[in-house]
Amino acid sequence: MKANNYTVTAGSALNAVVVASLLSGTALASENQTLWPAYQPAITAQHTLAAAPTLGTSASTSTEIVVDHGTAQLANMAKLAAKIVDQSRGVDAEIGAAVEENFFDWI
Amino acid sequence: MLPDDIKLYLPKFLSDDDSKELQRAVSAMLAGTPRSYYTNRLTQDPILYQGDGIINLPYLELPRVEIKDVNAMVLSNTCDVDPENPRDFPQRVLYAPIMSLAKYRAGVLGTTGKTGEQVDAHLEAIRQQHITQVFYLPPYPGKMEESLVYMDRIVNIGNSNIDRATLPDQRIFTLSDFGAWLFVLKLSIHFSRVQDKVARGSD
Repeated sequence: MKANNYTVTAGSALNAVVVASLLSGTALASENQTLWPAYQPAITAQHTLAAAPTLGTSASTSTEIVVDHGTAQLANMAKLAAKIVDQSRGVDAEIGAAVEENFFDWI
Repeated sequence: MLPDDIKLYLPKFLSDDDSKELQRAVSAMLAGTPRSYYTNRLTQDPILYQGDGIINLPYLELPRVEIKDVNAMVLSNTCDVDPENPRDFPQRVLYAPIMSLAKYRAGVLGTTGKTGEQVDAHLEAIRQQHITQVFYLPPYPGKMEESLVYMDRIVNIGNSNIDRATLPDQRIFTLSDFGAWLFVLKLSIHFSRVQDKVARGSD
């Protein structure tokens, strides 16, 4: 039997939200309350990092800006994830009570 | 983050064209003009995909014991409920009911003291995916009007109760690459906030 693996999208999205949550925090606020300051991380470029020196070699210290397709791709996904995380909030208490009471009848 | 590391965080199975389309959809959402969440490519597949909309699944809200059939959205991971994957014990399918936004609006308006403007502001927050426990579903022309899913109203059913042979006829929609990514993102926010601001201690 063939074993299918569909886990990569989930992994990518989860990674994105982990990145976003680490950047901005993800406590739950009500619609009337914000528990953290608005924070919009701007990821525009990545610098190459110096490789860890090993015996007999010298570390690269290039500061060349590297912007490749993957970087821009991840930056946009992280930006959208951070935006949604930042603005996530719970349902207003009055609406929440009405939903709790009536959802089954509405559907 | 090094370029090679970045690749770890991107979907690896997409073609270049699909990957670019995903990025266009992400950019469009960032610009406030979201694209369709749905794909027609998998319509006839006998596979139950995470995020699929399915007709006529039983719904109940314990401790209430009434049951009604509703349209519902599958929350289970595709891989977990694929019968092709051998399991030591049968997996159950998790799903949550789909409600049309029009019915929801009428219900909220009729049972709260909110004005039409206040309810519409709430609906706009839902459309922007800003409500933590709600996933917004845009209209799917000819298939479904704009709707929502409360992700805290999950029900489970035996996997074998969903007949894969007739699945294409039971399916309302399958999410696109972008829709699926956004859905899992919302699921992650709903269930997996890493910093929940609770000091749990370790003792």
